[in-house]
Amino acid sequence: MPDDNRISTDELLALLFKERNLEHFLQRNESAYLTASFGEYLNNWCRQHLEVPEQVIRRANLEKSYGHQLFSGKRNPSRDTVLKLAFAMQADLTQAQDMLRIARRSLLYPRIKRDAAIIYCLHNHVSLVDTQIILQNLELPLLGGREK
Amino acid sequence: MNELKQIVADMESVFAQSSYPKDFLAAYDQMECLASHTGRETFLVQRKAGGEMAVATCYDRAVFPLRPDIQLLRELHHPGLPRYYEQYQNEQMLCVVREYIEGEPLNAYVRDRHLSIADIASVARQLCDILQVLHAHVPPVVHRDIKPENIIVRPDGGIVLIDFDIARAVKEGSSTDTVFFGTKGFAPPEQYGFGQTDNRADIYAFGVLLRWLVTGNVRANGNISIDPDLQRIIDRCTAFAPEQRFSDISEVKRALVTVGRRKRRINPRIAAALALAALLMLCAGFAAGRYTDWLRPVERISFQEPLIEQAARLWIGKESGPLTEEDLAQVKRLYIFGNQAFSDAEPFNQCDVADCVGGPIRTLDDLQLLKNLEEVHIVHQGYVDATGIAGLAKLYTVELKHMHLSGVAAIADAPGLKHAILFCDGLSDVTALERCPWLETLDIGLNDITSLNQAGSYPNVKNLGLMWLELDNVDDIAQRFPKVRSVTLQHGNIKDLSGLKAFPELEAVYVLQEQVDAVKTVLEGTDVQINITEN
Repeated sequence: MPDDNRISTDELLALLFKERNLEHFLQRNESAYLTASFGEYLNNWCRQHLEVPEQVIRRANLEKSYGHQLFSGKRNPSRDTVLKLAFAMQADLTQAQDMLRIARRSLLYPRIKRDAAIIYCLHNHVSLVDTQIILQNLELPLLGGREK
Repeated sequence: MNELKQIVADMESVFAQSSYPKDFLAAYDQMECLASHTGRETFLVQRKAGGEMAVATCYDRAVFPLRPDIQLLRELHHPGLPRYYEQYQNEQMLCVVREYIEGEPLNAYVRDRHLSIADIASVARQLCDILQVLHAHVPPVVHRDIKPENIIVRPDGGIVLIDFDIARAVKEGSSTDTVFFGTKGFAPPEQYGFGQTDNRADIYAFGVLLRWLVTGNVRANGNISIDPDLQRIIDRCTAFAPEQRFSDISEVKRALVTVGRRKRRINPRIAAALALAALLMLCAGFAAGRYTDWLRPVERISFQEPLIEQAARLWIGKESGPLTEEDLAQVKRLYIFGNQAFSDAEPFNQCDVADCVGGPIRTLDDLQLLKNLEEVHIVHQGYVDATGIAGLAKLYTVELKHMHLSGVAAIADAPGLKHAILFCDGLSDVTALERCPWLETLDIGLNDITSLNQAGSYPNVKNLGLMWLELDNVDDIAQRFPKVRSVTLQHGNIKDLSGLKAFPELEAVYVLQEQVDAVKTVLEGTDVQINITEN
């Protein structure tokens, strides 16, 4: 469920959707991440938050061995998998964009309705399950629903 | 639930004002923004009816009052060009939908792999074929933005040229391009307004791309020496004046055919001097009364994988200088973790996948140089072709973990193999290892194995690793591994563990705390020691 401090959908979307110049929003800062792999990022996060990979994998609703292959760096995640992990790690928008950059996937783009819904949910720490409900009600593809 | 409904309602209300054509949004879900420039966005889209992926480029008409030449896209047909599907428009925007090409942009493809000259030649020849189609069109089409990001390498190695946003049909009589389009570094001088661009603009960019593929640079070669034939092609493609370039891309393709095949001619004077020197040395040899080894051609030993060479050098303590066959015969063990080589087991064992950068090794062919190799320990690589491990007579330990291994058939050709540690290698069948009669340790944890049929039967295995495996049951495990004394089961999901009871010689199992109860129930009344590990 959204927390009490969330900003309204209108406010957020006014900030993002109506903004014509999105360059600052998508500003890349890749140099800081050149050495980090996605697996390393996940493991570092677990160490910092005193969590074990299994907890994150379970919350992201990923298949267990696949999840561990992501942690070991053996597999590269799809964009939707990165986003599911972002929800599992309670990432905010900035962290989620960082994760997408590290995984070399397209950043969230607020003029896309599906991305705007995901941005809103990340920003307000809506759970993965509730995010999927919102996507379903908006008749948009669910996260991980139809992997390309 | 009401809160969620409100969010949905707000979202619908805001997006009702969307500037994209409504029929476009009704037909496609926008999934990702692949590129965003002023007035132009490219999206990965998914057709709502059917779910096929496609790519849509949407142009803001305020910024792009002139429509891109859609007709051009419709008329061009070639496997190396994306197919045009359809377009949607309203007063504000025009969205052009084309085929989605599965694959990786050339810049990402090159970043993750080492391309041989043959690979580069293949890319170059395919690109020549595509450009030939564009330039032969009436009127000729000039792409004007050839660069690695606009070339997609399909999984089968075929390439596709994308992004025709600034392509133009060459008009007779136009003297200059008034606006700069293209990508700095790849665009020729005339694209900056020095003249009208024609097919030679693409030939210029092709030359820059070729230089980039070989050297990694677009402007200069840096310290890298290029095959002289290839250098001549690059120089002629990238000449400042268009008239000094190849006039036609088919000429470039013909020139490429000879690259690397030309026989080197030696200057006659140098050849005469060398012959005289050789004769004098031969005479000296006779005069000394002996035939010396230096008359024998020396074959330089070279490794394909620098990291394997480094590990071999560390083992024999010879960090530099040429390696001889005698040196290589001394190499008994190799230790490589990620992108680091080690001289012995101690620092290697302290490495953790989570703390190390993955390594560059792609083939184990170099191991054929190390005939006396007894142990190979390589961890945390990408896709690794293991065929080079075959037939090493003295090999008894193979530890290959955290990589995507091509298979185990070659490993099974090591006749004396005793320990096979193949954890997390993407394997779905290891039955070939049944050919190793002396195998004592078999670790097949975290592989794509869901049944013991994919593992095989091993009369002498004593230590069995099954971590992270998901198996329905282990009913016939005792028949398959009759001499097992210890089994690791951590993180595994074995629905029915009752088969464990049938092991005649089982001494110990290793499990996580949460698995203890299930294992205790099965092994009740036996002397088997249940060891709890943290990980």
